[in-house]
Amino acid sequence: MTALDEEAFQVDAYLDELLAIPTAPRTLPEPIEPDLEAMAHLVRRALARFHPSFRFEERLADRLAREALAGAPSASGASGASGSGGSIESPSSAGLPEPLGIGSRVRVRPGRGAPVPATAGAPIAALELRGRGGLLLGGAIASGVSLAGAALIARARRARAEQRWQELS
Amino acid sequence: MFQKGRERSKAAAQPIPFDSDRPAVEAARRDPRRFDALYRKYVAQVYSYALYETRDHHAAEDLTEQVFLRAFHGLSRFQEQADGADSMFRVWLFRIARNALSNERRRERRHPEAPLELAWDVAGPEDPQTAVVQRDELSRVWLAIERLPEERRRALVLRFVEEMSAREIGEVLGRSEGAVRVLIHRALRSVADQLASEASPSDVEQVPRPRRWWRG
Repeated sequence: MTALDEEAFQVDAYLDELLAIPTAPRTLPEPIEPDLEAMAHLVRRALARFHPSFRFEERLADRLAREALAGAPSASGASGASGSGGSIESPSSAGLPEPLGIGSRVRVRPGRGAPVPATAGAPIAALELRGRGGLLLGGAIASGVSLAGAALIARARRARAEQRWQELS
Repeated sequence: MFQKGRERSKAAAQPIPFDSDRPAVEAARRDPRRFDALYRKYVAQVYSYALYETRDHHAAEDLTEQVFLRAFHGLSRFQEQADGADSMFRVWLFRIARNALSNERRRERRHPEAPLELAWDVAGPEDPQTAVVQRDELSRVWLAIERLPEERRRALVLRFVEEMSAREIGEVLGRSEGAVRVLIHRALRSVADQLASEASPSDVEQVPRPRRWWRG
């Protein structure tokens, strides 16, 4: 192991601790250079996780639910591969490694493929800052709807979706 | 499962991480409607990854949709053919995302017109001046990250945003665990060097001005 590898290993162990990855061994990491340590904390603050708009999330969930109801996936892959509408190129043609390859084509129903812009109807694109004592609100903020309100809306939508499931099945 | 000789001993030396998603994956294979649990768990992660890569909300949504549709339709093959670390659902999902992204770029040759804007409100200190200083600090970090070579930047995003281990990132990027560690180390060093080179005595005393692309 070269000096660089060793230093990289130490930094990696430190990041495990900083990011608290549960699968990582919980040993105290070796101290790393102070400037790298400070940078790790800064980068952690700068790189937040984004959340898509609730509208987008629910719309895609709905689409997946419809696909599931249609019995699309089967042991041999997707059925109804080439129906009406366009098609998304399969992962195998997109260069997916063979062991993970999916040889089927994914159906796109007309009128349902276009994603809803985050700014169109979803007031909030919230950015998660996990355990960092704060929450960033996304660039698509269009109103003063509170996060709590948005969460309630999402919860209600999920409840409606579950109810729809029960009705359909 | 059918590893031979050296591969088997290598695998024995490194314990295969338990995929906490396995029950959910199996449930989704039995009943496709159960895929929703996996989707809810990972939609923000995939979207974040897509957003950091495309720097565009609409493109990120489009990519997220593609990834989950592909994963949904390919779920049965995932478990049948993959093994070891490759069998981890999250790694598989991000490999789909990476490949979809590459495919998209090849097809459209889409290039970012501007860095991802950092015009997000940070809920934090009450003091506006402190907030401005913090924002500026983060914007400098962002700019430095933007300047990183693609592979380093991607590794950094997967490590910090997706909180993947070096091993998982290696599986996603097709690199060894050690190579990923070095990538991240170099990325942090590069960002630190860039910030250090930008710093000047006046920066310490004055409240820095927002950059031009900063919408705040």
